[in-house]
Amino acid sequence: MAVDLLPDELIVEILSMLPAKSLLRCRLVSKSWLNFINSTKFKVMHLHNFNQLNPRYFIRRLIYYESEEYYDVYFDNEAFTLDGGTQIQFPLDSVSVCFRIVGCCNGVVCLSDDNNDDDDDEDEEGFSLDTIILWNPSIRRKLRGRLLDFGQQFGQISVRPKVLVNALTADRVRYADRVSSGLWYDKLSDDYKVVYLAYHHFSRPRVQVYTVKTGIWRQVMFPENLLCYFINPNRNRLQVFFNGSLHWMACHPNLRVPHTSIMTFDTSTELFGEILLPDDLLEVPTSTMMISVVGESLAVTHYNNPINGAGVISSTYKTWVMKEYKNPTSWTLIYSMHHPDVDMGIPLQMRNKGDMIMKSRDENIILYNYSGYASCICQGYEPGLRCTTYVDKYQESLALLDVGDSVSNEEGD
Amino acid sequence: MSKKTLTLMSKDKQLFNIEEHLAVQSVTIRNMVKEDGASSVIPLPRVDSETLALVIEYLNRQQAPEEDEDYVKKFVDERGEIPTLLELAQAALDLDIKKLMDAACMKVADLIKDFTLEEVREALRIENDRTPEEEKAIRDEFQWAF
Repeated sequence: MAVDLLPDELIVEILSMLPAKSLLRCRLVSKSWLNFINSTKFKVMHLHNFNQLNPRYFIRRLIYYESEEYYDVYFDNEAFTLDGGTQIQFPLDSVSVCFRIVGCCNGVVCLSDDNNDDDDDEDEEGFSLDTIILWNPSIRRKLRGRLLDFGQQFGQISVRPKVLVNALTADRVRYADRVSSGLWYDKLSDDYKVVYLAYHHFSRPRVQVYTVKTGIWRQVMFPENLLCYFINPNRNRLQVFFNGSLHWMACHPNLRVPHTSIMTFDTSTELFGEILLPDDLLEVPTSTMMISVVGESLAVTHYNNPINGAGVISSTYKTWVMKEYKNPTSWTLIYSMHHPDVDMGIPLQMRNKGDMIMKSRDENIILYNYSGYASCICQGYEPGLRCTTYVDKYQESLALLDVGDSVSNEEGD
Repeated sequence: MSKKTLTLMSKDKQLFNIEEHLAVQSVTIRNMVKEDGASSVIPLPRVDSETLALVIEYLNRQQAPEEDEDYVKKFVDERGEIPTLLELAQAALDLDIKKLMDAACMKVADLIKDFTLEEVREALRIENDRTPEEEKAIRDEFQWAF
């Protein structure tokens, strides 16, 4: 019996709504499906369609006494409920406490292994600044970019772990010899790229850009005129990709100079720039601020938890949006909440409509609303450690399918 | 003002009446009406009468815009069989009723997402043109997904 074939348009539509795992299977259905599912055109369409239908977030937690990182997926619904059906296995071992999450883009998580804890001077393990890992949890694929000749290129700065730890203990400067990075997807070349900034003492960073497909690092100029160019890596949330640029909270590397702003990196021109903060925040430490996107605007949230003479901790949250991009006079305070006798916690991520995911003082991860409402999402377990809890959008995608390594092939690596 | 009625004809030559202002949710019908006033019967040679009845039921819905999303979802949910949904999606594609097509495709995707290869091929009417050796090579790389 002859069967009526379905129109291609219909098949394409259905495929674009399937989870990444199903698509890995469906690549075997026929030759034309394999070619189609592997195509850039389809990957872009799938990323958009599937994730629009299934908006979710993930929370990365460190269970300190187990030395394990956990990744849980949550539905982006009102109550932020756990998506028990989506299990993420973390495939890597960190040489430090846990990996630092540099950022996420199109379902790719960018990890760096430089997450040493400042307050823990006895940490003998050291940390490795010369590796960037890109990981796509939805298809279990990862890719390692290693800066083998980085030390030489940077003159006196060595990034070999051992040397660095020694340098740190001998050094009075708190944030010397640190790196920061950012990840983005370049549409034109259909490629993932990482910008990597290395600092030595108060010096301006040396900057390199890594291109995934070629595996090549190349140097990028850093401007002389930026006053705030240090990205404090001990923050929960480091990068925001918006309007074609990466954005970070940045301060002067000498923390005694009280000056803060947003550093930008235009990913098409590869030029750095600066966006001034609202007047109230110009001298506020970056560690009390969170950058995000609200609606169609760049947003900054400030969190303040002073303790008064009677030992009572209060907390204040304020969120500004930049109504007109790159116009500092357009900063507008949209949310503000004061809790006179309780510290609600540290903001980790912003959702729309005045919702924030926060870490409470008793280490729980909570959903907070600017109306003052808060509810517990899960327990965090990271006593004494900063910046190990991370919240971001979870997107399923086929990114790294053609360039990465299968995670299972490298287990125990 | 009296409401204008259009007549649609299915593949098996059955006739269905629908008010014009409801029928023009279909972009295809809207364009036909614009072009020639569509006074006579509009033939739909790829849509059978069962499916057309469903499409008409959908077009006749009286939903407030804010409830519409839920209604479309529920509407396709109630027609949970894959062949019916594919017919519906195909009709919605021909008639250019985007919401209905998206919802039907979404439902199909949801139903087949855990299917085996053979089941996917059968559901979406695809012929296997792979040798077992080729199949194995691709399968081995992502064993966990099968």
